[in-house]
Amino acid sequence: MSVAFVQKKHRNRIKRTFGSHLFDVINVTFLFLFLLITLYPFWYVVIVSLSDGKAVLSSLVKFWPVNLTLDTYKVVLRDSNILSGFKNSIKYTVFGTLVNLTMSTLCAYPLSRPVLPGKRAVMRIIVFTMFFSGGMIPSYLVINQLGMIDTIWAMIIPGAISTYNMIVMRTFFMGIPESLHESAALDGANDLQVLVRIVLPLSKSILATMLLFYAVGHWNAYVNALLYLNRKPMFPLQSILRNMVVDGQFTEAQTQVGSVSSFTVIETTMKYATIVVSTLPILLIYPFVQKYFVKGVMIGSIKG
Amino acid sequence: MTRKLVSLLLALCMLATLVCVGVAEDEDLSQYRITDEDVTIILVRSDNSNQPMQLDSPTIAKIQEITGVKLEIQAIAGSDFTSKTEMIISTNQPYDIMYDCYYVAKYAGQDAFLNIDTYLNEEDMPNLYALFTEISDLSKLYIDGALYQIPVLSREAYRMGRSPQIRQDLLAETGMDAPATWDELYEVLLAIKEAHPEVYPIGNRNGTGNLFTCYAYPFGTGDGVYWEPEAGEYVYGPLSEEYMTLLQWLADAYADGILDPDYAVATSTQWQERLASGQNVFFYDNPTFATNFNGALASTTPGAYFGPIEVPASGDTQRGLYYSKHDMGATVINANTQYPEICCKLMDFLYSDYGCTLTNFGIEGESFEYNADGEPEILASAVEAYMTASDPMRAFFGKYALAKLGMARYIDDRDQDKFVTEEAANWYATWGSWAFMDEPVLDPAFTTEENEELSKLKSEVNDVLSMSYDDFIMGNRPVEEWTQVQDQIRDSALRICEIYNAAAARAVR
Amino acid sequence: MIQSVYAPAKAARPGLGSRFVRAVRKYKYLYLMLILPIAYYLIFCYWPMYGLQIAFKKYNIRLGVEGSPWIGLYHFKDYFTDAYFWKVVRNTLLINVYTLIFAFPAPILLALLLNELRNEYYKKIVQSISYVPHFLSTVVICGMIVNFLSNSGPINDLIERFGGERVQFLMIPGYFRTIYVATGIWQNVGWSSIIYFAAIANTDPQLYEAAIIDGAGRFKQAVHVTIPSIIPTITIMLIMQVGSMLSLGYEKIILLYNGSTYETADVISSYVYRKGILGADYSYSSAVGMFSSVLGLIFIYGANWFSRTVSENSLW
Repeated sequence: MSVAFVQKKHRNRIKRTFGSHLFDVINVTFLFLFLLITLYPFWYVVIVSLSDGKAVLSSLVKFWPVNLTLDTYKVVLRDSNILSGFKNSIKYTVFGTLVNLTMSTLCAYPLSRPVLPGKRAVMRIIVFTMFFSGGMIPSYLVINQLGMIDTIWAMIIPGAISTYNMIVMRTFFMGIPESLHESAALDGANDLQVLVRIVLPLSKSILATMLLFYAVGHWNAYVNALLYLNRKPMFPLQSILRNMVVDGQFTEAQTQVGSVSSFTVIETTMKYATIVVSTLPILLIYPFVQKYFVKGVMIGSIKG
Repeated sequence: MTRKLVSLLLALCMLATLVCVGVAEDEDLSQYRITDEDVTIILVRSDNSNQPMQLDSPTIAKIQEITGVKLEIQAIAGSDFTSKTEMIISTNQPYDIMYDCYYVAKYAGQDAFLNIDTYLNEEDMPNLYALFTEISDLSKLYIDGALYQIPVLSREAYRMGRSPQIRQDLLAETGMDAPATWDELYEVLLAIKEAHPEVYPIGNRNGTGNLFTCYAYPFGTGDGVYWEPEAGEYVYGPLSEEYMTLLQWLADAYADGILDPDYAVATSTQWQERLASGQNVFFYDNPTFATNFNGALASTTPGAYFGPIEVPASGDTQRGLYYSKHDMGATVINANTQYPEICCKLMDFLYSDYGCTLTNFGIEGESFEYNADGEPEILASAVEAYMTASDPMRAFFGKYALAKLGMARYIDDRDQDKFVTEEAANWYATWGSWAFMDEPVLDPAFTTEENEELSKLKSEVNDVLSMSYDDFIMGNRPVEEWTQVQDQIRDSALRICEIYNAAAARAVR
Repeated sequence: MIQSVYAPAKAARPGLGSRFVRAVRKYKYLYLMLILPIAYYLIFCYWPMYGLQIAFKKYNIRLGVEGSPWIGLYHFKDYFTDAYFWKVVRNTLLINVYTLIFAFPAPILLALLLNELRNEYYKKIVQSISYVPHFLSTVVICGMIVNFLSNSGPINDLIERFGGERVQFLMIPGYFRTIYVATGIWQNVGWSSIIYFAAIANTDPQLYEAAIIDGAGRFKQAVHVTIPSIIPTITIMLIMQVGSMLSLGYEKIILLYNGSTYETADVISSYVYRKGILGADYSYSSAVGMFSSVLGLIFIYGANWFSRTVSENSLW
């Protein structure tokens, strides 16, 4: 039986004070308002992308789509590379995140052990790289020398560890009671076994968080693709869509010639439809990550 | 004259091909043959999402067929074109030709690009040689005596420039004549404001600076350093008397609620929304935007529509600026290319009559035909096929890789009327007929040292100006105090003009 | 205890070499794990670092990083003597201080409030929605900010309805930092709070149980159990935040500022960006970057030292 459940029962037994009730009311209301102001921008992006360009231009779109149309999505999705971009993004995200999680764990765990000689020096060396980097051109030359240009490796290996994420992970590992390490050592487990059997099962919430952070990072990444990939069939979705959102102003004079079309599709609707197409898939992974944020996971897994 | 003659000849040749199949065509086109060897040229260019580059377009196949040069095109997203191409150059990645290279001056002193002047003669590049002789402004493209770039030139172009658009229905409602001067315009806008207090007549986008980009020249001055035709030299606009007149006009407009209070912060999108929904009713900017506004207005406010008026006169002078007929944005050739001569000849081919027509109209018989006058005309069947697209013209151009976003470097805008509304076609005719519009003058070429000094001076002066403008327009400071700002920037501003004029004098030679 | 007894014996240390061998033997698995990550840092972070030298060179695109001529501290002198140098450094620091004071605690607070929600579905919905604004691009977010704060925007409509005067929020230097930081909170609070959710989830439920048995109410549970359990995470995040005191991206700044607000809004990156438009200079911008990095490193060392002195949490 999970302790979270026990705890809930305890809570229910305690007589709730007036202050506690008042706090609940205020808290629920506050978070509801918060929900509205964080939801509206994305909602607005969605309804604009579904509206007729003329209605958007006339500022008629406020809360619901006006003259609902899917034309904008037809334009956004017309690029023949969208599908391959989608597949590539999934591939880079899945493999990249796996590499990230493995590498970050391999780095964070040893550095989280207070007993390890030399860990402070290693940490200093690593933190230094958060501030200083060689820049775009030397990095390109290194990747090129390693023969990674135009391969999937260029999308995965150069960012194998995010120092920031690794440090967060290390902090979590450090929170695991030292007594667990000691008792495992007494049972004859080596450090690798301790990591796999004790530490990782206790770190589901942080692993889930890291998975989310890294996956979102890979999904949104376009810079490495820009620098290290030259062939369009290898481009991730972002590289293909980005061009529609951030277009050079220098074409303005040519694109505004007063075409005969009814322009149901305008720049704004295009831009917003692109955002929906590129962010919706990644937004969907959060609910799966969320279930690891439930209290009681830690003890439950030790006892289990 | 010669163009007509050539067209006529081409028409005759067509006739000949019809008579004696094949053979004659080969003979006639053989003059465009550049190489018989197996040569692949890597061409890097920016890719615009409005007209994505079609690598399998029939036009590109035709170029290979005629010239013998195989093109491998790398289309790089326009949004990241600069960073990607700078990377390509600085890491010595292979490429031969690069379109849309707008930062030539930056690397001019660093031998990154081929000096095209070596090949710019009657023999190797006859077509471009003739154009460089004909258009004298092109001599300004030489940097320290070398030519690193080939500009995008125009054979036939629609002419237009920043100019006023006003809600014609509201102008009619005031019962006043179309304004001929800035003061008359002010009266009209004031009358509109009185009739519709909730309206802020003048809209502006992308910051205060844009007001001066648009309004300074017609007010008899200019935006920053500019070529003043009356003086025959480069002068600095903000130092002039007329600039203060403009500032006063804007300050009055702000005070009277004629200028939108958000003039300094509205983005381009907001500006468009306000004009399309009747919150703003006048703008002096790229006038073609009005077609979109009219479309939106038609569905919400029947009878409301924008229409162009002539640029108002300031004092006795009425003047405006056309957008440049030629785009000085450049094509460059890699200094390390294996085939410098072939690259140059290929570029020259694009400026030949045949190459120009091919890259602007596509395949003869499939997408266009020559009419009785020997002018290329887009086939009705081709137009028909793309009419259902959200942007028919771009769809057609895209399929055949035509025009500026396609392969063309020598632009021919003829016969595009088929793709624009009747209203827009009429407007183009109006704008094209304005004799008071001036041609923009190309900036002279600077040496590397001059470029460095200029960038410092300009950012210094621009910072002072942009920090001052709003105080004067919003009435926090009286316009008379503008002389203090002038004193503050005078030395640097005059130095900028000095560099420009010295460079211009060099270019004249 | 035992360790302290044996401590004096350590005075007669064996040689460094044999100590090393002994440590490697004892912790061989830990060191083995570190091999790949260290190789990663050496190859992908330290190898390209020779590129740092261009801050002291006049970069020439054809000569490359190594071939370009040395120019000494030229770019640094240029930067430090710039008339706007102090202004942009001050503005960068101030915006980051505001961020530290107001934006840093916000996700912690959100996580704590969400933790107190009794309805699990409601909690999940708020969580999932709150991080959505993080996914909208800066351009879109700033477009919305300008819309809301403009003279004809909803906020000014509200002010007028309650009898106030319309305010040109985006043109008054005094408002800029508030707008920048507040909208930053709104956009990122949900996303940043994820780490704290994870930390709260890892709290040992036995601690709550014990607290309840001791008769602690909800508030006391939060103060004595929840908060202490996430303190290590908060500390580490704080140290890293302090390290980024001098870094601030230009994108949001240049979309929100204008000539009238340069006084408070112009930061290092936006200033370099504005100068860069006229003539991008690779060497100059890396000199500017190096200045911020050196200070950032000093800050993070200081913060880490301080944290180590007053608590047991530190980066190293």
